[in-house]
Amino acid sequence: MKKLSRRQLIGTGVAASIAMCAAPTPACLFSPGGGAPKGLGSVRQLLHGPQRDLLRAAIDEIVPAQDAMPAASQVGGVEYIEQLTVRDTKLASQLLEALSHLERLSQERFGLGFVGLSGGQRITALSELEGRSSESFGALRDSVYEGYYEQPSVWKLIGYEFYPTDGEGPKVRPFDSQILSEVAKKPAFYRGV
Amino acid sequence: MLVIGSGPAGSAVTKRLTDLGAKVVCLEQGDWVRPGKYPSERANWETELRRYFYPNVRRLPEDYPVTTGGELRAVQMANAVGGTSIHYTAHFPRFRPSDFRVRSLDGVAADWPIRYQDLEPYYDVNDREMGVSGLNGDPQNPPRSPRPTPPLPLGVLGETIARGFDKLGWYWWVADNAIVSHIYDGRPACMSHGKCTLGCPIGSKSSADVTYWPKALRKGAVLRTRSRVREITVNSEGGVRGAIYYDQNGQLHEQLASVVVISCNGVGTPRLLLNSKSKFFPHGLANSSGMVGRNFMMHATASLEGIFDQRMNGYEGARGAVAFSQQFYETDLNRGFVRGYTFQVARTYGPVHEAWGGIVGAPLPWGGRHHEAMRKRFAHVIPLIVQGEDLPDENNRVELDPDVEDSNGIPAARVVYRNGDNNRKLIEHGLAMGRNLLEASGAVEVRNGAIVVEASHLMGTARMGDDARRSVVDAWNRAHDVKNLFIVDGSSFATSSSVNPTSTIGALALRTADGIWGRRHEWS
Repeated sequence: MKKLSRRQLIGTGVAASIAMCAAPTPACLFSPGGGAPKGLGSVRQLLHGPQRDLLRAAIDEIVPAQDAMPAASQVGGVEYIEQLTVRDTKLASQLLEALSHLERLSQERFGLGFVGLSGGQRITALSELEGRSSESFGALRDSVYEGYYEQPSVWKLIGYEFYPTDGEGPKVRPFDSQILSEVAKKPAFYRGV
Repeated sequence: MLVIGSGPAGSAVTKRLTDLGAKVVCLEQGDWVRPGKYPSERANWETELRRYFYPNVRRLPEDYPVTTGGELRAVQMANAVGGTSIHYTAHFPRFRPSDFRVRSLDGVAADWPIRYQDLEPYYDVNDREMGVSGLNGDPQNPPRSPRPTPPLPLGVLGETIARGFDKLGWYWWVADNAIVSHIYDGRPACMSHGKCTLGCPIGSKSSADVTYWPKALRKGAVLRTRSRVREITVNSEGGVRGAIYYDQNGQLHEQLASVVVISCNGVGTPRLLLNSKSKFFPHGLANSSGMVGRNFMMHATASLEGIFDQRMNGYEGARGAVAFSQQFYETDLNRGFVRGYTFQVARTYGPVHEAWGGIVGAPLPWGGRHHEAMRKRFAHVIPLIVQGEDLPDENNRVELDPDVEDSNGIPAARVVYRNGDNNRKLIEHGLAMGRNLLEASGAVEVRNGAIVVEASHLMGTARMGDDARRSVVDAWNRAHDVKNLFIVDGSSFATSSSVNPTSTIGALALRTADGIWGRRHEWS
């Protein structure tokens, strides 16, 4: 296991932002103006216009609309992920890398940006991203899942009851010792020393 | 007397010594965690869980970095009043008698210098002080006193796997958990919200901040929070003199004491000892054996999940453990490994955790198959943990990181760990038997994860023994090298057993307090 560097331990803040653009990383190249992100707030600014469209298209392939279930963007997935990037520079970097890589793969393979691809082509591009850049794809996928399944509207559809701890808990059948009747008859089963 | 660390060990030592009449000061680098700070009332509670366990992710002012080597990925702990009991699951099993005689019985690891019988009365006291739910009568363990409160509800999940155990004829029992099922000691009964590991805002989970500490403070103990100890100081005779610590403003102080007890967990304790160098102890305090930091153990662990047609609603109910089986606890050489493992029947978290991969860490498919997979999995799962005995190995260790420091300039802890062959064979067997169990319980699909490479049970790094050349503390947790220094927490463990350590940590701490008090003429 690689030792964490001091910078990794510092993690958030200016150091990470500067490091992110000290070299022409995909995240920096992805910036529409080519400028360095100024901390997390600037990451959010990256996701304007075409970039937001790209994010929306990607997350709706990861969690698509199906039967009664909405697509990720229909329950605020784009906005949720933008907020995540504001809070977490490392995640922001991974997500931007995923999106820029996805766009590049789409161009290389189909000669079109991801948003312009057909459904099948989008799946192909995302699958290639998953294979080639599993860490950044995993960050994108997990963020989509997180944003989707934190929504009360989705909870209703999957039958999840949240039970916040300032309210009542679930009704659970009390313990009945009868359930132990069989094992309780067994002889002692430990080594006496 | 000075106690360093306010977790399950430090709190128990402090309370016991205070009850006996000692003047005790406890230094804790963390602070009180107010229940209102727990995110268990918020929709994002599951994502908060991801950062709550790890000091390197939280990066709170009171945290110190823990770097890793070998195959270890991360170390979990909390730095707060109550220590890691704030976030533990609160499963509260005891060691078995054989755990104290592993060398004699099985020819591996080490014998403890104490027996189960020496600790048994302290287990009982600790159970009463903490507040435990459970039921006596378990044939897998020696008889024990009536549990302070009855068992927590099993839920559909527990009732289902109980049928599997019985079908296979395996031993099992409802688990002891440090979560009270009835009103106890002024604390309310658990309401089954299922968010225990974030910290219990209603106080039903028996973390040390709501059990030992209120009582110890009422008796006159002094708890000084946001006080980070840099080193233990020694006097001109090589005894401990006290501790130098930083307050929250970075100012240095020295606290003098006639006796010092270190209870900073299996990582923090060796870190502090190794950082306390002097002309008497050039390789770290109490380290003439070279064993400080060595023999780090964390349990060999892997998980399975059974997927069932009917709903299990595993997110409803206290965490702890639902039930457990010690069918494969003891050595049977026909299995190809020594010692054994415990099955813990666990609960699930919510839908985010399930989508991320659940207890086995395999994310749900994305795209067109996602919703179907979620429908099959979410709330239809029984998680099962294989937790095996981790044999001590001197190469698995805690040391000072030469390159990384905490915010006060104290070297970080570096933990180096690799699973041994015995662990891998044990886990392979456990996963195969776990699959049998889940299928016998009616699972339509069973998945399993890989051997875990994160540490939450931190043990063995200042171990107990009779031989001063091979251990750090004696049978009363007194340092072999320093007569007025005591060390008690998971670091004192000579072996790991295959059960969660907190109950044994508390019992050892109470016994240590009695040992200190019994020799009080030596310190006065």
